[in-house]
Amino acid sequence: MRPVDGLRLAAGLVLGCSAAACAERVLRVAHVNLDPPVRAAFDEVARDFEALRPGVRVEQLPVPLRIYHAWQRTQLVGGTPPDLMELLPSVREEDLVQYYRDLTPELFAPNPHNAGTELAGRPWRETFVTNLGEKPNFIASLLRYYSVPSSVVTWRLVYNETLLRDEFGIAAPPRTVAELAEQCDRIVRLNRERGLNIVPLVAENWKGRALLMGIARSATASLQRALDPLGSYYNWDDEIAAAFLLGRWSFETPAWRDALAQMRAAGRHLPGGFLQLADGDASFKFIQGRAVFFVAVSREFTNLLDQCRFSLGVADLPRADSAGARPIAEGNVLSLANLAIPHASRQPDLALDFMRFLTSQAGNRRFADRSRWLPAVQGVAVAEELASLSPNRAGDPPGFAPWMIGPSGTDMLINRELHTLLNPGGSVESFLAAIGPQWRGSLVGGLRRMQQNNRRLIEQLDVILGARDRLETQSSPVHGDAGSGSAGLFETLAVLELQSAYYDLVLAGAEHGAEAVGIAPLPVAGSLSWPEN
Amino acid sequence: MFPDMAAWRSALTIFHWRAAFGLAVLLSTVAAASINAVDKQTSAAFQMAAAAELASATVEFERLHGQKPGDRSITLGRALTLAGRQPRTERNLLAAAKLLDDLMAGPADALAAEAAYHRTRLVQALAGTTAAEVEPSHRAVWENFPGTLQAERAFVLHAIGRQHAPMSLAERHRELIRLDTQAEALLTRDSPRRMYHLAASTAWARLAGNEARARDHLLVVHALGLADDYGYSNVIARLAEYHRRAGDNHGALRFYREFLERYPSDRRTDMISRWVNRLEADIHATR
Repeated sequence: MRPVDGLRLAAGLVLGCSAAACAERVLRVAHVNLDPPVRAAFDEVARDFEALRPGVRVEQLPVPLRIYHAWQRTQLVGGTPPDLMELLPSVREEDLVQYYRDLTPELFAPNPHNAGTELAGRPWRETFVTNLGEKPNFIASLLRYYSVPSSVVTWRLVYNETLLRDEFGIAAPPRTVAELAEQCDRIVRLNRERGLNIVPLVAENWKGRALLMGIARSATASLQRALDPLGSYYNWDDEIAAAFLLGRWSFETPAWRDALAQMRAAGRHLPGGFLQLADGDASFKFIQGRAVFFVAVSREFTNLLDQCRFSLGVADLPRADSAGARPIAEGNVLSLANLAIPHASRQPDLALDFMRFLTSQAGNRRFADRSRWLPAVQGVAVAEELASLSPNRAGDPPGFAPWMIGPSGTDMLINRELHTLLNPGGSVESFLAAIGPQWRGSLVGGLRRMQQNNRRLIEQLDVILGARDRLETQSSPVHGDAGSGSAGLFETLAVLELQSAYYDLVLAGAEHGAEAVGIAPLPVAGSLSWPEN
Repeated sequence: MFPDMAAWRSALTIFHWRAAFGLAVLLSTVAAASINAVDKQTSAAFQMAAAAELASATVEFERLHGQKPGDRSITLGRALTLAGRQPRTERNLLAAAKLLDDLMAGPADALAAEAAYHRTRLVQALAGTTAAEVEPSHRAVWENFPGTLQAERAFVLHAIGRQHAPMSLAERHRELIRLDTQAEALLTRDSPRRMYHLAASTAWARLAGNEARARDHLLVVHALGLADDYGYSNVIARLAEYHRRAGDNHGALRFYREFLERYPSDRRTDMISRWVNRLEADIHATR
């Protein structure tokens, strides 16, 4: 027993209450995962942690997703947040800087709860199945880590095996868009003939969009490489937008048109107006046995296993089968249940300790086993029933889809005009005619908005860097995140300036031509053909 | 009556002297305590600013300014918080610029270098990263405060602007060479050097289409490292690709293998492992 525990015990005896009740430290964890198995999983991990840390009680605060943002903001602004909070990918950079602890130094040190495992001694950051390279774990614009995941997400085409095989006579699920389209056509025809009231494919809103994006990214994988000006094999949308504005690809580029044609081939089987469907609308139909295919995220699989009264099958999302299309690697998968420590946490060290425990091999194994979610930590075996959901690393880096640079880019335009591609009378031509007048402006607007965001961040970083410089000159220790000193901040700032300067030049090139502003043609990517899978 | 007036006088003098000394010590202790207290509070205010608690830092610096109006550190803190206050107003920015000008007019010390650097950040924020009017401001930092960290940073930010200014391809080539030569002479610290070489590698590849020069700059970044782990994965992938395109399969393999070791679950990992197999087979076949 530590001396302080002894004192607490003594005080407790004097005051007539148990040491546990008197000395209890309550650690509160807020998250948005309301599914009973996931809440039970958090509870089990909490009990294990409490056993390791006598006198500590972990309390979870599940908050519905639809009110989470407002609730979270109220807690943060009021200075009364719980000790750990789930971060959603939509979190804003300025809020991270203002309200959350930078975890970068901790992530570069080993996780002590991995002692005795093969992960012992490895930096915490390197113990996850992802590289933690994406928001909200790593914030590229800040070059900082702010949260760690409890699980990861993959996308799959889930199917009713009984219907597919027995009712429609299809032996295997589709691997390509052509196969999906053919199977859906068959299902529609047989359904009409037999009056079954069954639809081939359901997906609501963002899940339908994920299916179409995956197809487009597969179709444009080779084009993306050809447009890569740095030779880094993968670039974000801004580089693809820049390439369009500089005249390096156009609406006539075959791979782009193929991508749209492939999206149409699969998407015409999605429910009409699927972008307006609420979460659960599609899964309800699938669980009732009235749909053959359902686009699902891995975290839904728990519910599907519990509720479906038929044999469930799982397949990868179909890939495009046009010229230049490639299977896409599921690297850098999305993370889930990402926990962060607010600056205002009253016990940040205990919060960090719990976070490390939850993402240790032992803690994450317990969490994954109970929740039936995919583990986020290396070396934690995936349950046999979830094996088909594990990230499939085979394939090429993804290409791009028409949704570019988020809401400030082409998202709204594409969502609004998608029906001209997917509806029965739709076509690639009508879609291009619909988006054409605003496409270029949307890309320019997206880049400008990114510049504005960069500028806001730079203004903040300038103050922070100036203050840190002064403290370092005065030899005053900088509290909180000593590992991310002024050198790291300057790196962030310089990268943001570099990005802004490049966008300036691209926008000038969009107006006057690439050569006129001094941008050389793309390099030829060498004579070797790319290695096949 | 007064047998020993001299002794009394002497005693009194000694007493006075001692009292004066004691009082001076007492006053200086109080003053030192007070200065230390202010210094500690100033550090605390900078801690707030470093933690992005701008509103609290602003209030604190203004309060400290009331206590110690001539303190240059506090003046710098006031300038920084004025410049960072949102939404930015011309009035605040001009007031911040005035404070920074005052600091630059004082002794040419570390604080003046910091002030000069932030003065140029204000100019750049208002005019834009690549604006021509930023250049004299940057130049003033590295010419007036040579050898300081701020001078090196100002040069890096100046270089980024110049690398991306619209110009003909021939001019860009000359400009990039000129900047490389200047960087060689000016940059001595790791932090500015790695950012200069990263920016230069990007400009040579993406704007000038010269992968050999881009590769040379990236080799420096590779040696110095980056805080941004994903950015570093790009450095390794690019080095491998540039070596491969230049026909140096052994060099490419070295970086491909490093990528696989460091980034086993990246979206590029599978493709890179296929490159390793291909290049190994090619090397084996040519033996």
